[in-house]
Amino acid sequence: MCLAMVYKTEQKAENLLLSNVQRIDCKDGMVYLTDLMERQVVIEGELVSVDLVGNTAIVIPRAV
Amino acid sequence: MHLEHDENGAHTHEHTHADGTVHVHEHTHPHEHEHGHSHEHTHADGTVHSHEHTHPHEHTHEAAGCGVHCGEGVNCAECGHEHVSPRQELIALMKYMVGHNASHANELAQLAKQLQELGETTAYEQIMLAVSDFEKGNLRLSTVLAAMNA
Repeated sequence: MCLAMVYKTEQKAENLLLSNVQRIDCKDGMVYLTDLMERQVVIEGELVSVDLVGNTAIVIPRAV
Repeated sequence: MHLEHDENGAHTHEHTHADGTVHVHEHTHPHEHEHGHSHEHTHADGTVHSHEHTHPHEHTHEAAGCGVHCGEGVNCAECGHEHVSPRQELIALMKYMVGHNASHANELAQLAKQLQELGETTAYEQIMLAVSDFEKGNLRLSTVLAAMNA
């Protein structure tokens, strides 16, 4: 499995949340992104798609 | 969404309202807390209100990393986190890729064997030659990696 680029809402450079993502966990409405260096970004929202060929994932932040 | 923290727990939140409005809030948590807090902010139409919400997760501000990597728009001096150097990060990425390439070489070899079992001898031989080339390239990469780690 390759490392992924994770984007917010849609795949655009300015929407990049985290690159070289090695792990994605979803729990209690939160999406936890962890990169190769074990840095973590936590987003309130939903993982909506993962492209295993293109190595990208999209997260939609939860509307408040 | 927590994007950035400093040693005092200052970080930004970005969230989207039901009407599509996106806000970024910056505030500080100079104390132990349960992640229950409110935000007060002003909309474009002048409406001021706050949101009370909790973050049902556990993390420390020290452990939470920045959202993007060095060289991707982060001002390292202001980030407040202990960062690995760009060199360390590139070495880590290189190490990952060498291991990843080895996995792909194995996958290709298995694919070639399946073709051989189907009687595709020429394809098998050509793919195994490609695997050999691939492994030679990866060996060169691992040599560079070893030299950088020395």
